[in-house]
Amino acid sequence: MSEIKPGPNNPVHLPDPLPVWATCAPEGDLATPAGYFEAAWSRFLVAQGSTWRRDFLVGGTHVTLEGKGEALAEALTPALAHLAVTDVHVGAPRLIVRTWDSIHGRVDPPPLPALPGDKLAHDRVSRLSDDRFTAVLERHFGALTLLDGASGRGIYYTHDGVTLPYYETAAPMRALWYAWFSRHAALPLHGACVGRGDDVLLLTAPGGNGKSTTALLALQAGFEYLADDWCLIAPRVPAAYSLFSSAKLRPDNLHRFPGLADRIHNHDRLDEEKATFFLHRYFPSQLKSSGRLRALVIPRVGGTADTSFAKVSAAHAFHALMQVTLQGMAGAGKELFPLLGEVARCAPVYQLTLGHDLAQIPPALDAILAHASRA
Amino acid sequence: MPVFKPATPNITHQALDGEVVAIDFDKGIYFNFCGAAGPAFDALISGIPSEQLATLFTGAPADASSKLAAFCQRCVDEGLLMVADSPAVAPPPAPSPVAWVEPSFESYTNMQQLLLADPIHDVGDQAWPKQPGSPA
Repeated sequence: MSEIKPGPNNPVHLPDPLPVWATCAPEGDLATPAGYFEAAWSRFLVAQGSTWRRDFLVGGTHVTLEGKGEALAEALTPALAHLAVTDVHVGAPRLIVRTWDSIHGRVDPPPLPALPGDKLAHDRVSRLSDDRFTAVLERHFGALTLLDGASGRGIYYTHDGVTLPYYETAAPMRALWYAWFSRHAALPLHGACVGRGDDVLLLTAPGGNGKSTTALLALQAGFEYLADDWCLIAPRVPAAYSLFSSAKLRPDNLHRFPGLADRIHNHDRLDEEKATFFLHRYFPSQLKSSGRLRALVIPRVGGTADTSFAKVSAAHAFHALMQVTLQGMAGAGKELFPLLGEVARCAPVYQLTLGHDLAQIPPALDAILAHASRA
Repeated sequence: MPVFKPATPNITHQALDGEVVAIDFDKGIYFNFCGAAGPAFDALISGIPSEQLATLFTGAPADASSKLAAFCQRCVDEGLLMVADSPAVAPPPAPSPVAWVEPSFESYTNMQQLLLADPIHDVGDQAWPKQPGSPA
């Protein structure tokens, strides 16, 4: 794999070697996963900045996010705001995540161990994993995710919380959610999710096939909304869970949604970024945290005015799921193959051919829900 | 009677409602087996000898055996299967027969770049990459 060059998609590099600016206590054996994790976990304590804490119910799991400095709070928490919990009835957290950045916290994680061929220094995304620990280095924007699956502790470190790319603030810490939930028979998937009542549809396809457009048309038509880009699927229930309250649209697609025009979060950067919306601020009653997964829908843009759908095989769904997961999930690989198979088999699958007449699309989603409910 | 096994540990497959999807993670190739090819691949992987494949189908035509033999050979030629040196002493029980549908063998390379990107470095108990100079 060639070395990643700086550029619009790779704005930040982790310094190599990583400087340690703060004074840290003596650390254990960094060459073991447990030793490395404990050292990184402790470095949070010496990071500068005020400590904040937020609690969320993510995929039914009580997650506590502890951070240093407001920059990261502003970057990471808006997309999770619809999952925030304040009641103590949710009990002790099952997952505690510590997060800080070097620029404001003035401390880096320990240097990562070396790999043969110096792969960690050159891959865009690298992942180390065993039965207990996962480490994901997303070099293209300078983030390191660590998970100790046994103790329910995670770490999300980044070089500079202020310069996180918009796609990370819109869907933060995907590598962490993947590492945690794939150990619990659930999978964050690149897909939109909308529904009626308790029943929801997962729309999944590679970019450019109309997922976001379909999801936002459904939102406008009164559907309940879980996701336009990433959601969590638990195939053995089967259920879908909302992960992020954000929606993203290509700027040339905005004219189809005039009601969203004054709700764009990043309106000053549309020359470089997709328009991003945090929907919990504007459609709180339609944001839904979970639902029963009734069908998998594979959208594609058709060449006529009319929208139509047809039932297709689970293998169609599997092919689409493989494509979007490999494209979108940092560090995902063949170990997710069985779980993707479970997702492809967990509900009826439909191909949705989207027509130019957008008014036909929400009724087609209703028709799929009705058809799948009879299946 | 030849018994087959995956040609490498990086061949993996999933049965999906009668179809089978297989991926060769070494070459980044994605395969889809429809019709009789799906149950046939599943049976081969489970250790059923290739000569018995035709018995897994009802309504199979006279040339079913030759078509299934051609499918086996294609799997070997594509690097998916190889003859097992030491097959199990007792073959596994055959699954219930299913209706014959003409086998089809499709392969895709549109995910090759993603499948070969290999960002994964799975490690075992002691296999967290060693720091230079750390004890063995």
